[in-house]
Amino acid sequence: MNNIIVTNTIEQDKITINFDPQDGTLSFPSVNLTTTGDIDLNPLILKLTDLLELDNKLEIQYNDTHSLADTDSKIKLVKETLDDIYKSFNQNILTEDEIVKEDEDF
Amino acid sequence: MKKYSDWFKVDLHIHTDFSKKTKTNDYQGNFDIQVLKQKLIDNDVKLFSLTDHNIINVDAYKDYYDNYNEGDPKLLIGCEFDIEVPESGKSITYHSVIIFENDDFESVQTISQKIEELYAKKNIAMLDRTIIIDDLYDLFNDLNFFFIPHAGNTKSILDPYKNYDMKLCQQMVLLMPSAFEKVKESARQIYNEGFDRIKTLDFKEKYDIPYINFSDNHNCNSYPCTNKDGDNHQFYCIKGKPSFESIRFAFIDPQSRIKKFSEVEVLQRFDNFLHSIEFIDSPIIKNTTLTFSPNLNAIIGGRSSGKSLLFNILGKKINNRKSQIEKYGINISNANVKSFLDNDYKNMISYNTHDIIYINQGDIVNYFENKSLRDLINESGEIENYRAALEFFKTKKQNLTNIIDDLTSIYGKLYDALNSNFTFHDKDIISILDSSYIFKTILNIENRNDSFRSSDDIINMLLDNTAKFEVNENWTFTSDEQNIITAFRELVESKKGCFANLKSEYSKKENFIEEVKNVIISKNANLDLKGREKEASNQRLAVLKNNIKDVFDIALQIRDHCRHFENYVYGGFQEIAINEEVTVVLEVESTESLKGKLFDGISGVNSGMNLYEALIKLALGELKIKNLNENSAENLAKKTYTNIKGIVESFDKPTEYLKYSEESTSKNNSPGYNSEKYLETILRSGNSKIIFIDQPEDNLGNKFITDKLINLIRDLKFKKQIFLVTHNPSIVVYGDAENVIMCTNNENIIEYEQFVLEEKDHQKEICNILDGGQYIFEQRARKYNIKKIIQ
Repeated sequence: MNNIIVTNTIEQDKITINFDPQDGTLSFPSVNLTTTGDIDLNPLILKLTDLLELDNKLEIQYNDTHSLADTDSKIKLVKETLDDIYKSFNQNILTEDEIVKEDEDF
Repeated sequence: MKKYSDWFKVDLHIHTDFSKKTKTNDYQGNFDIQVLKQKLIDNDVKLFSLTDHNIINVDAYKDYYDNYNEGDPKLLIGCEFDIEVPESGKSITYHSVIIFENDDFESVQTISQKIEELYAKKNIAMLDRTIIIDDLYDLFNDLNFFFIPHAGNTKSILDPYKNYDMKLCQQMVLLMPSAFEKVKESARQIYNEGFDRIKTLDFKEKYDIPYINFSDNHNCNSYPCTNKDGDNHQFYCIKGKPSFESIRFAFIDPQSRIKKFSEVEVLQRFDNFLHSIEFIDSPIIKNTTLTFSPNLNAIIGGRSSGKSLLFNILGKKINNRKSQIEKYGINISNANVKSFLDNDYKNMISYNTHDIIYINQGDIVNYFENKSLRDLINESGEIENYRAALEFFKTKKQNLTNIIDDLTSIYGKLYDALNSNFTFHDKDIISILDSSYIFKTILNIENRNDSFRSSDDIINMLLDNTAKFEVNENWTFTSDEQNIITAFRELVESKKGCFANLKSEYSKKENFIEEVKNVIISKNANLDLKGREKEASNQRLAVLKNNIKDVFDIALQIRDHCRHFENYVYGGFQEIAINEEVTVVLEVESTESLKGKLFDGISGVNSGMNLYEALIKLALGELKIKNLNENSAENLAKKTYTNIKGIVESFDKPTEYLKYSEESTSKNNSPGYNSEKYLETILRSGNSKIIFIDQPEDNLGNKFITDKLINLIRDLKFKKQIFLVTHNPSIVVYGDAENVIMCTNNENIIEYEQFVLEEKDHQKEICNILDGGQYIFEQRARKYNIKKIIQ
């Protein structure tokens, strides 16, 4: 089962998030996360709830050419938040191996 | 011993062998009066006559009178005449039996002598004897007699008058105490129609012409065979004691007083009618035993003579709840009753409620005044429908309280929403507009719990019902059909699996959203001071938005409910058909405005204002609930229920009235008219066996009594036992009471005596008691065209 590669491209005023299912199908439309003003994660969350149905884990990548996540505290917090969200997503996806393991635990 | 008018068999046309003297070969065998007497006793005949052709067997009469014992059949003097109508131009005669009032041997001799002298004077041979009507009148003008001509069969009175003067013939019958003999049942109506054509309007009473048949026996050994060698005679009965006077009454009122024995046999199946009551050692009632007719028992007497007392004693003795005996304060334990099925007297007889109609004096008017017709319903056997109707109004009441509860409950939400304490400070606005940032609240995904619940129900129901369908005892399946069922079950199971996956996915999404929300909360909590203030202000803004949304939602609900409330028709009606003409209606009318009642509790409200507007103003405090501090929902409900108390209570006791037709009801008719309709309805309806009515005439018009009530009683009394307290002579006399119980009060000792209408002495007593009794007796005589009943 292929992971979905999630590429987060960090720019000064936005983070562009792209999804690649790696199965030859077209990528999902990317999500633009504006980082000026309040941060609205709802469009991303909506996209992720759809992806939950595919039962594929996310594989996270960042393109931060200007190292904004290191120098800008707001971008840094947004990146940490995104990581927490992706982590939570992957925890809701159980691989077949994990399912077998869970069964053995009982 | 019966002290009321009961039926007895009568046979006033029996020949002896003297008829052989005046007619050739007329009588078969030898006549023996003792043989005939025994035959009469065997056949329970109580009154008879020996009626030979144009002659009287004096010896036979003498033999009978000389050997007469108390209880033997009573013998009236009679003769069958060949009557000639010379003016008709015809030589034919008709036969008529003449029955005299006399019943002593001296009169036999006198009458016989008159007959013999007439024929001797006219020099008519024995075998040629005929008489003309004028000679008959002249001969017996000092005697009372009945004229009973043949009107069918042979020797009919109609024959000589046909094509001559039928009107004269009719007058003969109408103007004398008479009856038609030998008319077949099937021909009666023809005779009536023939008579009606020439009768004046006053005499057009179809049932007034009496018809009666006697045996016309010509062989005492084969009595009661008809004529010479016919079939056994079908006896007729007359009501009263075996006497000339009873026959006279029977000819006056044949409908009530002449019946075939076969009809009487039916009438005498007394069921468990009340048979009698005995009073022993009562402090105020003289010792006596009253026997009751299974037909009409009229209780009469002057004021305070004990009429209603007897009525209520009887009510108590049959355990009727409406008996008012307690108000008399007397001990009636020594009064005992028995029914026709009882051998011994008992203290009380219990009848089923629906077997008895019991109407106290004034009851009927009270029913209308109290708007309760429950007794009518009860006694018409419609109590189950009545209960169902009351249930309908219980539901209506519940519906009304529900609509009020709903309105005040929604109003309460509006009141709370508009009056909740919410603080939104200037600094909240500054914080919200501040350049610092927050993570915005994550929105919920669509709530699908209701949809999932419904789908679960459908799946489970389909599987459950498919299993039941498969094993139902009322059908079987072919293998093809069984395959369809299996395929269907597999389809449902498959959908159940898909649905389980869908729910699992949804649950996963819900879980994910919750986790993300927690992430956002935790991140926001770690923002700098400005950011945290902005978050708090945003939370307050969200609450404000929700609050405003709630107000609009509630306002929409309250507007819809106000419209429903304003247009709500709280009343309703239920109909219970008693018979084809009369229906009992239970009704709660929607005469009052619910909105108006609610507005009555609000001060400052304009009656033209709509309810929605008023409640908004009330919630905002622009209007006030009268005499209460707060405009809370509880206070509004309290005030509204106080104001509509009357309406709510009306469902517990809906108005009851009678509907006579689409336009006519007891609501728009006079108390008198309603009482009449009520009485008519209750008497006609239901399956009661015994009817008690105390002085119905108090609330009834005379026209109703004479036109309807009397005919109704005359009809009903042969189907039900009736006890009627009355001081109205019309009811007693025209109703032809079989038993008249007269009440007298002598220095506080009450005496009950029994009288019958057909006894002359009794008639006078009855006239003395009933105001106008004499007049009514005379009216009755006039109606039936008899010279006078009381002579």
